[in-house]
Parts: sequence; structure tokens; C-alpha cells
Amino acid sequence: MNEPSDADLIRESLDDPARFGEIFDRHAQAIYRFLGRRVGPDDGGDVLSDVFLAAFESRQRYAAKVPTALPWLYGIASNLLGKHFRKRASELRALERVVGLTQVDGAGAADDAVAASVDAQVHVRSLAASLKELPVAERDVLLLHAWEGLTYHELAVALDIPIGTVRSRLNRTRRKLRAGVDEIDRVRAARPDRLSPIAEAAPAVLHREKEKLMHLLTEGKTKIVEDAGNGEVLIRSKDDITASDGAKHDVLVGKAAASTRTTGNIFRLLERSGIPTHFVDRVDDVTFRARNVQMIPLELVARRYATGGIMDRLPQLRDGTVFEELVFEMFEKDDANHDPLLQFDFEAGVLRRYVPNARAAEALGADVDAGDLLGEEPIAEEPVLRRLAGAGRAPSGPHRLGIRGHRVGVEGARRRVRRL
Amino acid sequence: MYVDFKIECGFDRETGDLLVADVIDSDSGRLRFGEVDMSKQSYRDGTASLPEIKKKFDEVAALTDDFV
Repeated sequence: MNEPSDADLIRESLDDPARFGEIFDRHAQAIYRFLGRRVGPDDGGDVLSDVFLAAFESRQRYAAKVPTALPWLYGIASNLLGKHFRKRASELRALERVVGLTQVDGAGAADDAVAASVDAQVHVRSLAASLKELPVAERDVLLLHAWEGLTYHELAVALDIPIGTVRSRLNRTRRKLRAGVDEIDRVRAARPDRLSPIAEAAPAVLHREKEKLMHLLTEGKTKIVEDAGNGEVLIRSKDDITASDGAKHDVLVGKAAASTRTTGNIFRLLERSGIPTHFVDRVDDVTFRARNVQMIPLELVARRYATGGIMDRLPQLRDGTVFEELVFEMFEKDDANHDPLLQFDFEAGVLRRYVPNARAAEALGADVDAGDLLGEEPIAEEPVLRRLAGAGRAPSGPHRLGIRGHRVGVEGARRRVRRL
Repeated sequence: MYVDFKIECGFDRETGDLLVADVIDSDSGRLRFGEVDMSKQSYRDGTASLPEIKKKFDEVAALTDDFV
């Protein structure tokens, strides 16, 4: 039998999360080296499992446009770097350290070879400085191209942008670096492990990160879902409480029981009101039985008052403004891409993605604002819907999602505000 | 009052039915009693101690008993 492709494994992992472990086995070393080049091997090792977890969480969006999942993983890793290291301003630490090393080596020496290396070192240092000046989106595309050797086509897949955007972004970046020679070659030559080798991930690091990943794949942060057969699952809540992408974490004894009680009561109320839910019955204080569903990777949000992320997008709103008509918004559950706000425009046949809030805007770059258009694509080619349509048992077509006719997103909210 | 809330949906793997899924609890939206937040927002903002948050969750859970 042939080896399953990356696409096969990712598809199987939709039903059997543990299958995703093999994606880790195949690509962990490459992603480790990528992280090593960008933030240094020590910090890179620590976020290895996070990259694969983020990939796992957005695997419904994986579209096998190239034979390997690696470009897709590079894209996710790039996004994550922005998130993890933004505050510490320590990205490109690997490059800075290499510059530091050559500085020591070259000090006081006079022969030609060393003079040349001092020359190279000056280049690398000025390059490190200009790389830091670049907006995140441009730096990502440049370094994935120059250091990881991704082609334009692979870059488009990795960053989920059209190939024309890849081209224009690279050209813009090239102009900004403006050095008289071929800028991409210059960046390529300054790849940290060309200057000073980065060791492979130690087996212990790989093992530790895989354990962390497998634990998270099979056990959620706040609840555990277990197959109970007969098309049903058992959902057991945990006492863990987390916020800010897990940066804040506590154990709150009794939280699981309160959550299960609230959930059960609300689902029963919904059922009684004619709204079908997955709830079957309560098993014990912290566990309920539910139908086994394929989750749709969307968060459906209703707002009565303006606060939170919507204020970032519509700064003209007063905090606490009342919406006479509920504002309905839809966000894609796609951690690696900062959970964009979605707008389905059925008249134009396109789906648009917007920057959902100030936090995401900050992570995306200095020139990005909440509410900015991230991109649009034909609804028929949209990966989330396509995967749902291809799920076989799932009904197909956007209308079956109950979203036809809803004017969601920034424009819809703006119109509503004008009426107030 | 609910300031905002979110739900998630899924397709029943056997019947294909569209169902409200996941959980709906104190982490699903900003719930306020007057000016006082009763939801996980207090935890996110760090405006209440852990025992206070636990008390809020219990109080909301007890009130939902009236739904059924």
C-alpha cells in the first residue's frame, strides 16, 4: 500500500485527531529549522508544538494545492511568530546573534579575509536592521522566499493570498531594501544557518513537543470529547479556565459543574423553542451526552450593545451604543490567521475577510487597521465551504448554513449604525 | 442583559442535520446584571478574584434552572 499523502492524513485527522501526529513526525524537523532561523533554536523549540496545534485547529481549511503540507505549515508558523514574539520584539534574534558573533571574530584583525568578513558583517547588520523595519507581512513573504526557498506558487499557498499579491509584495519589499545589488540574493546569503549552523532538533525536544501536541489534540483546553458510539459523544468539562490564547490559565474548582448546568439548561430551552441542538442528556455534574457533529469552523456572534472588537472596527461608535436590531457577525475559527471577520456577499458571489480587531491588526503589521479588508475569493472556491460540501453527510451549499440574506460584517454594522 | 454572545454549530455526522453545538455557558458572551459583569469577561479583564468569578458562574447556572 502506498504511503498516505499529507492531504490524506489531514483529511483522516478530521475524524481521528491522533492521525495528525504523523504530520508532526514528517515536518517537525523542517519547522524547527525554520523557527531556529527566525528566533533562534532555543525559543523555536518551545513553540514547535504550538505551530502544529494551530495547524490542527485550522485543518478544515487545508487545501491540497501542492503535494506537501510544508508550505501551509510555514505560513502558520510565520503567523504564530508574529503573535508570540511581537511583544518581546525578538524576532530575527537568530540573525542578530550571528551578527554579534562575527563582530567578536573580526575585532582588531587586519588581513584581507577578515576585512572581507567585516565587510560582510556590516552588510548583515544593516540587513538585520532593514528587515526589522519591514511590516510583518512583507518580512514573512521575503524570508519564506529567500530562506525557505518557497516558490511564488508555494508562497501563495503558505500565506493564503493570490499569487499576484505575492509578486507585488515581494517587489515592494525589494524596493524598500534598495541596496543596488540583487536584494533577494543578499537576504538569501544572510540566512542565519549559512553564517553559523543551526543544529537539528534534539530527539528529546521533538519527543517533548510531540507529547505536548498529542495531549492537546486528544484533550481540549476546557473540555474533553469522547466518542460514545451510536453517533453520540460524551462532553466532559474541565475546571481549567484560560484567556488570551492560553497565556492566562487557572483552575477554578466547580467551574466545570457550573458550565455543564448552564449549557444543559440553555440547550433544553433552545430545543423546547424548536431550535435543534446536539444536546441529548446530562450524564453527571460535569458531563453531558451529545450528538457527534462535524463542527463548522465559524463563531456566530450576536451583538445588542457595542463593545469589544466591534469598537476597534467602528471607532465612531460610542461604547455601549444600543443596536435596535441585533448585529450579526461571523468569524472564522482560524487561530493562525487571527480569526477573521467574514462577509458573504451572495450578489457578487464573493466571501470577504476582514481584520477582526485591534489585537489582530497589531499582529498583522504597522500599516494594518481593524476592519481592513484582508482579501476576497469566489464563494464557490472558498475552502471552508468546499470542505463542508465535500463532507458527504453534510448538506452542501451556503444556503444550508442559514447564512443567505444575512448582511454581516463591517458594512452591515455601519448601515445599522447610520440608522440609529 | 446579554451585551453579546456567540454560538457554534455543526452537522450531525449521521443525519447531516444542522445543530447548535459546543457549549453555551458563562464563556459564551458578556452577561451583565446592571453594570456588573457576570461572565468570563471579568476573568479576561482581571476585574474579579477567582472566588468571585466562581460565585458569578454558580449564580448564573442556578438562574438557568428556571428555563426548564
